[in-house]
Amino acid sequence: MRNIKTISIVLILIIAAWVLLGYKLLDLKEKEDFYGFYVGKEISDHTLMSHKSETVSLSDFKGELLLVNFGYTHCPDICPTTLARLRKVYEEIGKKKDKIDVLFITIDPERDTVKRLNEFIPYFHKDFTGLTGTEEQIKSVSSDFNVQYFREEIKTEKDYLMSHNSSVFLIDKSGKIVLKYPQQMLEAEKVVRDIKKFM
Amino acid sequence: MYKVNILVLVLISSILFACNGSSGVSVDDAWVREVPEGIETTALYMNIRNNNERSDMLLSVKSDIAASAEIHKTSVNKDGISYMEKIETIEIPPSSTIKLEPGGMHVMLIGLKKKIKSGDIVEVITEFRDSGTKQVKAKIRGLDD
Repeated sequence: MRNIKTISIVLILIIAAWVLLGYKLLDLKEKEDFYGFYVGKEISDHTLMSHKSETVSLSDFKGELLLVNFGYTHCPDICPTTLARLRKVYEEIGKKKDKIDVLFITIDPERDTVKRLNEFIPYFHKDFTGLTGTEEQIKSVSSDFNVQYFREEIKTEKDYLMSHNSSVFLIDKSGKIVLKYPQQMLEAEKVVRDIKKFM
Repeated sequence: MYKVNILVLVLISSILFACNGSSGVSVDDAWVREVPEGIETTALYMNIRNNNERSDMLLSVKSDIAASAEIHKTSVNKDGISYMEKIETIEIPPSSTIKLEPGGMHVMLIGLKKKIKSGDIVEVITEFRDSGTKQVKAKIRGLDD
């Protein structure tokens, strides 16, 4: 009787180990299949102000996919390049693009007012959403995405520049950051292949 | 008479070649990123070819469409942070091409004086240490160009 009990426990442990191993292998395979870098991080809800002067919370987008990028409108090179690439990605999705939203969150809320974002964002795509907020709100959301930013010591003749993470994040329907793309990796076709796996 | 003509042709060719050799820097594919109205900074990109046997140096860039122009370089550090550095000059090694392109070296045009529209051509003046000033035509490129 005692032997049967021991054998049962050993069997259960073996089965549990196999299930765990199988899950881990599947999980790893899933991660390796993506073009972007797997993140797998839950994010808190954040409420910001859109370029259309509407209050927007990240939780409003639950059930949809999100592409999120951080930048600033006085940025002459990287930010417009990233947004232009995001436009290509968005267009490449085709008919299913209503299932995804693209958010541009400013890291320069002092200059990027709602009015300023409204001049900037629709140029890249009418469906894109620009978001701004208070210094604290921006600090909080960027920290959740592990996005660092700071004012550069070198100023232009007229203004200051910002250093910042220029990666693009893909958030799944549950609100989890699943993939990250450094901006130079934003090849539309490959990114869209990833996106479609989450649709 | 025929021989004289050939000699004249050879002489003219040599003079032209010599002129070209002394100012053998060429600027191609210059373009400016279109920006929406109200946005007053943009970037200018170009390819600079140095055909000389000694290096040259880009000293400055100017354009009537902007209050000022600065040469910058965008780099990404190991933490994925993009940052810009102001560069005073760009060295163009002999027999090589330096590309000013998105995500790398570029000319930041600050204080745009007028709206720039895809397809428009703007005048840009580049100044080189040895090759002097060169007037360049840069095309405004929109998102789908």
